[in-house]
Amino acid sequence: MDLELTTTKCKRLVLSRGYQYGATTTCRINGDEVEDVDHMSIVGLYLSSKFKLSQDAFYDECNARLSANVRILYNLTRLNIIKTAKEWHTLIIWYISNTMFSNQYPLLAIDKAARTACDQRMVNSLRLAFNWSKNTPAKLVMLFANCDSSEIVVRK
Amino acid sequence: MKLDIKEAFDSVNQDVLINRLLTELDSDPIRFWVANYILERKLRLEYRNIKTSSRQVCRGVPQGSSLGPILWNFAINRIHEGVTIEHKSDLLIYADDLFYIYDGNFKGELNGELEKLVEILVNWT
Repeated sequence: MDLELTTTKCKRLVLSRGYQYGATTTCRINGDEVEDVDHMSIVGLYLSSKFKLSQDAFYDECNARLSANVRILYNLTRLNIIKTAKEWHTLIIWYISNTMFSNQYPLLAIDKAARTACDQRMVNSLRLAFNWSKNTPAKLVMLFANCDSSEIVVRK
Repeated sequence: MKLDIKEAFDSVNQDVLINRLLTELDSDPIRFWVANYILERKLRLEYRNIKTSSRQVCRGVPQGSSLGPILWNFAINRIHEGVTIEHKSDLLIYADDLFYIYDGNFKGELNGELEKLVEILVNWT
């Protein structure tokens, strides 16, 4: 096939189950050492060596995507072109929920802190998108938006 | 392990690809048409109204085309056969992103498997 690997761009993530599995063994391709990382994305699925999403790297990526999507929803509310609750629900699922939860179900299922953080981000995003006051209770925001919490989404 | 193939789409060996096409699309007349498309690709450079003569492209699949990723899949889709072991290792491939998943606990075991994979990438036909 004449294909070569670029060792400097190859990354290894060790999901350790004990000290003997640790990342102490150096991994080499063509004699060059492969870099060890503590997280990576596999076609969108975020994986971390600690089996937790509660890490800055995930939230940074997520925030960047969310802020762009919130801006879109905010503009749509100002344009007043979405008329039905069903249409809004679809847009919220598409722009907010999926950005927060999709592909992250396995880790969200085992990381309670991440679920709480995702819910908070979702509420804040909805407040911003619909220009609701910061004091609007979280439960009310979720009720208005007809959204499930991350725990319910993961359970489903 | 995330594996990065150097200039993946541009490095496909056309002979291997055409062999694969002829095998996989056995009896489908489109295989000759696709093979011709791969073999007859030419490129030419144009800069400030100066044009070079066209040259035959001898490697790779066209990037940015609809057919490019499909041809790449034809080239790569059997690569896992030499390196995956049931319940031990697996190779996930999405376009030119390769993820090698290995479940092991002995020092040097993974390195041995990776050497095998590198060997397959280079010499597999």
